[in-house]
Amino acid sequence: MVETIMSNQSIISIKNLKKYFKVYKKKPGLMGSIQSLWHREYEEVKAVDDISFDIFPGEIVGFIGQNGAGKTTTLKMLSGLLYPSSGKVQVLGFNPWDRKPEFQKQFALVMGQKNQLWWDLPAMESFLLNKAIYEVPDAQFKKTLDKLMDLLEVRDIVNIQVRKLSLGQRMKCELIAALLHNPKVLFLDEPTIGLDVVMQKVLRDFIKAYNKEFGATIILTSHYMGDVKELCKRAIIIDHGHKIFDGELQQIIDQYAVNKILSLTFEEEKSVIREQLEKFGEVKEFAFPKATILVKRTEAAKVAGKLLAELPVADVNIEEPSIEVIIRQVFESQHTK
Amino acid sequence: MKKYPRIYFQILRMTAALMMTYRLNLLVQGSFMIVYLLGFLFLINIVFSKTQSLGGWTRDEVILLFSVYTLIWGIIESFFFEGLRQFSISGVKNGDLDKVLTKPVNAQLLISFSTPNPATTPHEVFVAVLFIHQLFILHGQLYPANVLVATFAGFCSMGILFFLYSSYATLAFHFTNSSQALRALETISDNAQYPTKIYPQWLQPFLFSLIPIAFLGYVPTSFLLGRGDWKLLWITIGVLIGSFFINQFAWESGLKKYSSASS
Ligand SMILES: Nc1ncnc2c1ncn2[C@@H]1O[C@H](COP(=O)(O)OP(=O)(O)OP(=O)(O)O)[C@@H](O)[C@H]1O
Ligand SMILES: [Mg+2]
Repeated sequence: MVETIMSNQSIISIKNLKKYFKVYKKKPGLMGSIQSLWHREYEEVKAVDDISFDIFPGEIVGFIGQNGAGKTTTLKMLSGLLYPSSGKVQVLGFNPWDRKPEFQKQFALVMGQKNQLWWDLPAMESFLLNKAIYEVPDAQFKKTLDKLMDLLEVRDIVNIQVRKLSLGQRMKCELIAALLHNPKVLFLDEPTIGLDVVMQKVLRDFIKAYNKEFGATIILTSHYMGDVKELCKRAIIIDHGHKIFDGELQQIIDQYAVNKILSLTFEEEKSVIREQLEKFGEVKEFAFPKATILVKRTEAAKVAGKLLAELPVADVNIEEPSIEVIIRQVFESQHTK
Repeated sequence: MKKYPRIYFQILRMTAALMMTYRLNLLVQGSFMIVYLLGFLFLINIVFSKTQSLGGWTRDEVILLFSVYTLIWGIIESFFFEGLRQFSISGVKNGDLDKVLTKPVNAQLLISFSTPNPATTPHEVFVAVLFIHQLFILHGQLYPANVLVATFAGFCSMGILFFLYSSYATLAFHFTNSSQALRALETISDNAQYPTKIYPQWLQPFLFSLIPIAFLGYVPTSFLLGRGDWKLLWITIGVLIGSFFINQFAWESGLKKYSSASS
């Protein structure tokens, strides 16, 4: 048994986790190729650099960060696909990279960009294969499958060839395939990537329902603010392999998402100039007839009202700032401290 | 342990379903192979119109050897090769291995079994008929004890071929273009359809060790015709055990490498 590093009752525990990749730099051109035959220069990529956190049963934690921050690498170490360079990981009391079947039967990793279903067959066949691999008893299989199909409303499509499904339908089936063995721990790596707003919402609701129904613990990465805001009370932000925030999501939104974004479209026949907009807030973009302005979160509604009253506005949208913007602000605030 | 038979049963079911979807493809592929087979027979007849024996083997014996080799290769191919082939092309590069490694299943087994290839079946049947036909012709040379040893050697050969192919597939962990290596092996193996004795003296030891294609046809057929001796049998068993360990080692070190730097 591995030395216990779990603080009271956490289900996932990471301590000083690091993953450095060695990538070799090839100089450009033919000479570079020839040189690299006997002399290779290596560069170290610190994908994950000293991260620690604990996650407790039943939590849905948003794991966010910019492209290349180290999210997928961390999830892969949690799933036992990658050995860490150093540090400790425990999931459900197991060392993930021992790849013990008892451990593997209790978790699932879903990657939005990858698929595990057999392309040329109906998803149902892949479900049956997973049933055999995870040794799910018949009765339990039927029960779980029924429930999942109801939650996702996919009764008819599981019998259609996977390659004939839309991206959203396929993602639903991917999720079912990953959840048939009722995993207690779920790692979702960008499950909503590439989906339209409606489908994103459907999947969100499903993830929420799954968490409630089965008490599953979920780590979710996403670049969509909507996903994180709706699903996760707690967020962990990483940047260049470092953890820069771990706490209540609302706290960072209040603290850093001080602005909201007003996207405006003006009536084509009228004319509006940049100067007219500047008194309402910070003008981010202006190309008539479209403009975006940053306004204080607390005043967004009021400003929008004023705009509508004073200018020939055809359409207005109030949006949350993107995850990337918030991350940048958290990052900057830490470095100016 | 009922788990693996269940998994394999489901995979076969899926393969059968795929076959239904791609019937036409299969038919074309199957008939293509039969043409190849007829071509070989035609060639052999031309060769033997000029000479009485090839490395000490008569025409009917060479055809028997050919059918043994093709059967052994075909059986292994239809059950294992396609999965390994696909693994060597995209398993590591596209990270297809990830979805296997997170599951409670032996990764190497699942990969090897994952894609049965029914395309070889029509061809297999044809070769089996040829094999039986040759047995009838040569029945004067056959003795029960020899048949027994030959059958045993045949199974050893399948094992050797499987471990060999599976070890070569692990090159994918180390090189991006490793599927070439498998193709090279397939090409080299085609030489197993001739008696090993026709190759230059210096080359022959390699055919029993480094590129052990002698086992694919020559060894079992030799036993069948009563030409094998005990020494050959021990070598066969030795190579089988050796290739088992090489394969084991190749997968372990490959997976270790994958886990320290996959993408
Ligand atoms: N196998 C590998 N070899 C070398 N470098 C790697 C490897 N895998 C990831 N990296 C590097 O590690 C860093 C973190 O990558 P990772 O995929 O974890 O980011 P991410 O947070 O998931 O990003 P994204 O939002 O784009 O998915 C990147 O700089 C990436 O280039
Ligand atoms: Mg990622």
